[in-house]
Amino acid sequence: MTLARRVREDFSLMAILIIPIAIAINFVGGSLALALKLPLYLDSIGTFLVAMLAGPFVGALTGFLSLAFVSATDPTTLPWTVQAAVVGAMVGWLARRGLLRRAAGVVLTILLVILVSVTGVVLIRLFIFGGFTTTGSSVIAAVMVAAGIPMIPAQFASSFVSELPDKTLSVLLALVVIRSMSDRYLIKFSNGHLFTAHSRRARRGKPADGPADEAAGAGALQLAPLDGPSTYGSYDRWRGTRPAAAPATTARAHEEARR
Amino acid sequence: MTTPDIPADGVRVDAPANPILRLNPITVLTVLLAACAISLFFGWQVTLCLIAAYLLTALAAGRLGRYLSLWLRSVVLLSVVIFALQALLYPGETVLREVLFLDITAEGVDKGLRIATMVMSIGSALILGSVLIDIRRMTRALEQRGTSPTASYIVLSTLTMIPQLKAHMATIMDAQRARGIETDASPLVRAKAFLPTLSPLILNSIVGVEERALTLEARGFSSKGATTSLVRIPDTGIDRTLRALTYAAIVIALAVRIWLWMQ
Repeated sequence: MTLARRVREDFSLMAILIIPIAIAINFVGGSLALALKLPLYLDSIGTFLVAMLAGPFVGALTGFLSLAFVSATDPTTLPWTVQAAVVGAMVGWLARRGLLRRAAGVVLTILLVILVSVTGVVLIRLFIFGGFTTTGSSVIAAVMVAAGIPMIPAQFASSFVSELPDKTLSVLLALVVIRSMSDRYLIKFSNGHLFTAHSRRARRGKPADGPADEAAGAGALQLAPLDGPSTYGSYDRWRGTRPAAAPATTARAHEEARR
Repeated sequence: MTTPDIPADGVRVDAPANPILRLNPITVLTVLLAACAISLFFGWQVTLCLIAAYLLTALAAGRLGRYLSLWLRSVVLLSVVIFALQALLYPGETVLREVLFLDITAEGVDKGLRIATMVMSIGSALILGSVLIDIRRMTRALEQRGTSPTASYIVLSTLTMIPQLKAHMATIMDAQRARGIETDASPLVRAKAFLPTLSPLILNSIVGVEERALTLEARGFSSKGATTSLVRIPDTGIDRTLRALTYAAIVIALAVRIWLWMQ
């Protein structure tokens, strides 16, 4: 599948409609963290949520736009749009590779997210702002440099201290929210099939109502003459374009349905 | 040179009375981005002149108060902090002065001035943009230039969604407080209040998406045909002249810069 096609498939109507909400969640999460006087940003929960549900492209756009909205009133945050977009894309890509289905994968994802965002923070701080900004962790870095620690280790240490709890909590919160969504809602997103209770049961080797579901899938095939990925939701899953929990069976059912 | 084309029935031409606010948003954006680029070509003197021009423009548009409050809180604060910290902490040979145990070095002052100028020049221009440009007009003007209405929908829907979710969050927080959740105690207790406040908010607003999808679909949101808008942003001769002058200014600034290098 070409890149353009993949991007177009990810931007289904449901994904487009959830982007504004995710940006608003980022805003509200950030202001709630401020209201509760927590020493965290917590302004990327919405980005991670969307990235997990709808993949890397939608995740990157959400990250970019939510920082772009902040920088409409505070242009000094403009460079951070790049970092938010990269982190959003990465979470989406890792989710698509199925990493978030296991505890070990979740831990690995969190570590990678922290690694990438710490590197991003340090690079942006050093190359654009010359090392220091007005954020709390940058003040820590300034104190460390003043105490005689070299610039680059001080930057890494200070941003690691602030990113570790922040990104861990954000990823976990997004996962908690996804866990409490229903299957019929999740399957409308391009990554949703990875998180459904059905796929969890199938992975544990207990395909409780597997056959019944396959039959329903085959029925839906005939019932859904949708054309183009911009049509409602992402029903194209049922048409076999994306591998579901049991891709072989679905594909075969598809063929049979066509005949 | 305004073309006196009469708008079709029911189409409103969005033209505020103030001549600066009446400009096409794309013109404003072009001019400001060009001003950013030009101020990056030269030193802090040019940036200072441009900031004076921005202040006068904001005054003429009647938005000076908003400009100043945004500008002082973000751009000026950050520039001052950057300048001070670079001057104090950047290692260098020539010590100008000692403050406590830190040295102010000529190299640090130089670097601080350079970065602070860059932040000032880009930040001041962008704040003027955010003060002068109405996002609704901007998205509409871009749509007239051929961007997708879906992009406008995402941007405009975000604008309405943020205050909506904020109000919703206040309600949930009150409800949770009434149930006895601590929102003002030690950091750990406050952190525990975060999840029961945020997760109902997220789930609620996400569940609403499906209904919105059905509603929009019923109104032909993803129809491929040409769309009609009831608002039109005028693009007058003044706009076109301003844009042409801006392009000329960029070329001249680039030429002057190269000429200065050759010297």
